[in-house]
Amino acid sequence: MTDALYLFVARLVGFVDDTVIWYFLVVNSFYALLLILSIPELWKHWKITRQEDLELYLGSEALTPITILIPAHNMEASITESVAAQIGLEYPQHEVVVVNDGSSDGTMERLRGVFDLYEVPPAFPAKLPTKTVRAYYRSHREPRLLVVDKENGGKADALNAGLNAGRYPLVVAVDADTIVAHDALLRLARPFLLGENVAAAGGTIRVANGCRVENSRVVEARVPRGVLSAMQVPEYLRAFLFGRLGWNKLGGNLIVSGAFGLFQRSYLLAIGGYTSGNVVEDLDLVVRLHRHLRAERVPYRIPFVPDPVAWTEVPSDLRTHARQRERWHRGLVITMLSNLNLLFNRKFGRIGFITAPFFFFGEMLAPVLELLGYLVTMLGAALGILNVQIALLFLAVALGYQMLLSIWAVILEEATFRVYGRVGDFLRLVLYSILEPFGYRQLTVLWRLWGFWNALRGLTHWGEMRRKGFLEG
Amino acid sequence: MRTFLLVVAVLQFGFLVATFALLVVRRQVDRANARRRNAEHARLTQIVLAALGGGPLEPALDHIDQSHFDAVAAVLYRHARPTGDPAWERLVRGARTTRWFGTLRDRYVHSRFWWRRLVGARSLSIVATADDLDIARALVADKHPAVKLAAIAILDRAHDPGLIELVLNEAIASKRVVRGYMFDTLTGLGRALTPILSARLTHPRSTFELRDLIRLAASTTDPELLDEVLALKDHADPEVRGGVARTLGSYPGPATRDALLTLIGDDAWQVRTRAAIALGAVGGAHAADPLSKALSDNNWWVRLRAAIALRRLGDVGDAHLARARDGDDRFAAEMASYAMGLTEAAVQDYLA
Repeated sequence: MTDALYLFVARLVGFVDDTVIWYFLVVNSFYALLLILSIPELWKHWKITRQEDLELYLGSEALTPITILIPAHNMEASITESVAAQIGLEYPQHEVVVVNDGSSDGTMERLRGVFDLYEVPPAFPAKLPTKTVRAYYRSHREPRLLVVDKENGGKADALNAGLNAGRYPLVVAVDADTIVAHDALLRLARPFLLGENVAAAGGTIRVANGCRVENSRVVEARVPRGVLSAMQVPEYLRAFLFGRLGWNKLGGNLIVSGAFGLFQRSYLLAIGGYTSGNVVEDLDLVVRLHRHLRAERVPYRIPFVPDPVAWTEVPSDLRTHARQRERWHRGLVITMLSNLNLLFNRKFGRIGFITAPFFFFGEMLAPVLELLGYLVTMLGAALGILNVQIALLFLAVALGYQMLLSIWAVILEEATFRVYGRVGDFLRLVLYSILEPFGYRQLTVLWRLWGFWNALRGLTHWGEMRRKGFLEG
Repeated sequence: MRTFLLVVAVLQFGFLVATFALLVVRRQVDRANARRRNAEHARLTQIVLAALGGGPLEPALDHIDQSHFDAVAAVLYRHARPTGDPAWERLVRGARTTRWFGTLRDRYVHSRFWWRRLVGARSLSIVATADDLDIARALVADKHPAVKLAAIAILDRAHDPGLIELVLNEAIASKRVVRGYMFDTLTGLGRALTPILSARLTHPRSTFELRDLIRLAASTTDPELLDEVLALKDHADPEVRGGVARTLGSYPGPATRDALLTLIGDDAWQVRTRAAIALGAVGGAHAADPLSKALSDNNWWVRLRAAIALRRLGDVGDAHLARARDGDDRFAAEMASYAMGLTEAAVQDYLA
């Protein structure tokens, strides 16, 4: 290598190194800001939770009725338990609309048998176009249940069919394999009772793996035994307890989890419902909601509420985990790239100047920058121009910072809701917070890069999610 | 750069260790506190329940005096009985002489921290008397919505016209769900609300206010308000007319029926929907024809509500539904067929 080339490469390595370090500092300072901002929000909800009399809400007609939408595709094994659990949720007035999305297994037969369904005429207004609905069914046993049987069109299409058939002003979309806590709807209604202009609201998703489940209810929260699932517990805590809570103060959330999120039905209809073919329908929906409400100058908030909980089974094998993270990141990239005009657009206020840029630069590009950092470090080492001391120090700071964020998520959990009561679970939670940056983080970077690549290739498939199901008893 | 990273790394490590230690210590301290609190809670509960069961009051008051404020507040709230229950009122009279009530009055209800005022409002909602009206007014007008929401429950113990008027004003100025929640409490006051509501219905400050007042009138179902409500059936605002239709569903009678027959032909579909529901509620043979006609309405909600209303009318309604099902109007036939297929429980679910 000539001296000139060597000098050029050395300068390039130095430049990229500096860029990565500054990127790291800025992005992580932002995470620290989110953490700080989440504390008063968490404090507010926790204090209210302790003085809240949910039974009073139950007896009140003030709470707006809710339609729970359950899209179901080949869920024969768990569909009836899931539907029964959603019907049994505590709320003054709610209905459950199950959309059988062209299942090829016995989902429809199970529903028909257990709930004693009878067909009703298609007397529902179809405001959103969907695949052909074969039939509508009501139940002799559960008057609050409506089943829509339609041809397969994907989750978004199924949700749109549910939106057409639902009759209440609020809609909660719930995955069929999600366990919603019995009082979660009442808690999710809190922002309405606090007089906020709520367009949508999200609750906390927690890891159900390892928990003790009875009658489709989590009766004891446990940290799962499997390392991969357990690693995701602090990750979820971090994402929900301070990630999304912090956004409450910074202009609103860009994501309301598709597994458990509440929306104003009229707004969903106004934006044309869910977009078929989008692999992260929740992110896409919320972005479009922001755009619509901003354009219409409707005062609104999309808050995250920490105490309503839905439990979901997270991937417990690497293959499923990879597919899930790949899909999430692919969806993020597709959504961000198709909404580039949100960035630094005055029309969208804080969404345009804070939220969207953070998701673009801080979330979407993060794996690329991280990969770049690793590559340049290796290149520097190969060329002998790496300052090993600084590289190691930077690595220590980066990993230490990640641990700190996870530990702080555990602290927030401990100081407030303390869902994991056992000392052993608490210690494992701390342990996995410390271990997460070693290996697990790099794996997720890999899956996210794969998602990035697939997004650029234009892939739109969902990928199979293999689940083991909940252990009862 | 090296020094900077070194300092950050060392600080981080120290912070991490300190955080871990804090977590472990905090957990242990909390466990010990929880044990103590649970024991105190159990003891207090036992003694309060004994006092409520007719036992001596003094031991309960002694314990209330000695126990932690939060424990007393929680136990009293949990075992509170409806206003007027003699045993509860005896305990309240005693509790108001304790140090606990002094702390509530002096340090909680006027605190600059909203969460303390929240505890204060909640506690006052079970032990307030007419002596606390000034505090109640301040809490109902509190700037924190959670405090305001907790404070309106004080109305149950203090039926003061001034306080009712204040809550009514706060409700009208609030967002829809909060307003509905406050209206629930106001509705629970029964006749104490009637003169105030009647005066406001007659002389509303604005159309916006009238929309809310008519909604409140619908939930009170007080016949003394019928004349005021009927007088509004031709109001220019469709929401007010819809409110009138909704309210009239609670007052069966010839005057009501005539008004509803007019309203089911209203220009606004929301009013027609409300009128259809109300006609189903007041019933009678006169309701069947206009409801049957409404099955051909161009609005889905009107058709649905008309069909459900016809189901409520029994045999007469069923006959009309059957005719519509076999008729030429496809939309009417579909809706009639849908409603006829519903189980009684499903019909009741629509009416809930």
